[in-house]
Amino acid sequence: MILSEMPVIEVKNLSHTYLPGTPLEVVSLKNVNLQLFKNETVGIIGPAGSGKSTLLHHLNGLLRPMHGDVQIKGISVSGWSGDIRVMRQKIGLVFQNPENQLFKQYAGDDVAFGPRNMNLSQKEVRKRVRNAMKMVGLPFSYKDRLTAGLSLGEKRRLALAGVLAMEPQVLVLDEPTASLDPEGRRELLGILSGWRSEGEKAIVIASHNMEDIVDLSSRVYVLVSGKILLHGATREVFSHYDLLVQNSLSVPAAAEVVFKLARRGYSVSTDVLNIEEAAREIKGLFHA
Amino acid sequence: MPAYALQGIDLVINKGEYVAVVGANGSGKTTLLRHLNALLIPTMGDVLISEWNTRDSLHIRDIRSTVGMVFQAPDTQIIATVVEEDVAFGPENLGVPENELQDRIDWALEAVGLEDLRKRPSNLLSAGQKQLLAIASTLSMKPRCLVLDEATSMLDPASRLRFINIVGRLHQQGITIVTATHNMDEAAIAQRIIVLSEGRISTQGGASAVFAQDKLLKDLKLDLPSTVMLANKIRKYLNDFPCDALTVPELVNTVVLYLGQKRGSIK
Repeated sequence: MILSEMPVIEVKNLSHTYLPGTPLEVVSLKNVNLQLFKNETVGIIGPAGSGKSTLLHHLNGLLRPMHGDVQIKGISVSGWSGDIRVMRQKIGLVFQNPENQLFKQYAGDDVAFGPRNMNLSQKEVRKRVRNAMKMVGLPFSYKDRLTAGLSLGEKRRLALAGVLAMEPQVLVLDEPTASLDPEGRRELLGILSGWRSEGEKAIVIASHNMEDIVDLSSRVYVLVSGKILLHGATREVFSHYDLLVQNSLSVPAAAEVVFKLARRGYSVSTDVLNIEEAAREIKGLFHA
Repeated sequence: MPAYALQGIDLVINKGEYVAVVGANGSGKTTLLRHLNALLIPTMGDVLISEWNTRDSLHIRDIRSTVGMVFQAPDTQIIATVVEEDVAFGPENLGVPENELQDRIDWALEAVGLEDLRKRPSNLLSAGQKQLLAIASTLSMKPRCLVLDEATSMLDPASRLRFINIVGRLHQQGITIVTATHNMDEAAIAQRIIVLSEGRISTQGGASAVFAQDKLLKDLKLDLPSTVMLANKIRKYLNDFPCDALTVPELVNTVVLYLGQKRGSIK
């Protein structure tokens, strides 16, 4: 990543308040700055109610900045004079529990909904549906399945296919693995990193699952009470064990074991993110 | 042809027991749980809550006030427009007197850590906060049995930990707990784990016994708790390293003890 390169998405001093000026006012974001470059995956972590979803909803113009600015490829969302749909096609947003946003009776129609609304030819729509379903690992024959008859993991992949069929450059995902079983989670993470490595793509992912963040992201932003508390390379951010724990967050469980051993005076390096690295550090104790 | 969501389930959950139900998506966890407070009536077979058969409509109220349920999607469970009113709804309808009602609301909100948000409109909560509210609204009814259907899927690590602690305290007070989860670290805390696969009970038992069957779990597309995975990995280097630690503090202690033994034997 070249730093002089222009970010795909740049959030500048963004603030957002729900129901401003009423007794029910809730400040959700305060002076948030964030940059997303192409060919990277950025993770967002933060305790419940820290503003993660509100921030994500700003990234494709679903919410417009009250204060500050969001720029897509250098163009400000606030001053966007063109069709907002163009922006939404470029930045695909996958909501929390996206299976709830499926609404067509047949699976294929749900994936085709976006492309059909882009006035593409029948042939192009079919091609996009086929590609998108392939990318998420659903057989094309599933297009004729009843949406309601799919399992949770399948529904979630179908909702993702609906967004991918728009051929976005950026995917924004809000807790994509919540309530998936371990296998479903691994599959989804595999699909995401596969999609991203196609080139020129970027992903923003918010999750409470620290393992998800470690597996996918190269950089992490930590959002606490609507402010960016910390950001940096994934390894760097997860080295702040105490700070994360104080803010209702955590590190992957394997890393936590190593941090706790270090706390008890054992000579282990806490530069650990996953099970392999943790096992190696602990093994080292026995050969010292 | 009928598709069986559950088939041939024989299950006794004892008073005061802490049971975790695990299984892949579509294995029948939610269907099983929904039978426990008469939201679903068996197509075949019977479900008895205390001595009441869930088919007997006379006892539906008794059953539902005995078994409190927290659903998977909190939005389907939140009915009031303000946080504290939602928590009050259940006990108010059970006829809890005014003075006790306030105590219950305070207790339930504090238990989940939402006390500062009590006046907030419930639609302005985040997904995780909604999940905490759904839990508080169920707790405030003081059910004798608490059924949790992936109640922690949207919680941050600290809220999850706090919730696990509350459940542990309730269990100590004699409340029966049945929890369905994909988080094996969470399942490991239960006294008994029931593994469902394609609507049948595939295996059940204490956490150590269930997690020792790693091949079966793998076939069922399930994971081991991360501490067990880490211990298994360490075992590759140190072949007598014990693999029975189910929580992070337990594994830390295991390493410390094991290290002590090794150093002792070298001397």
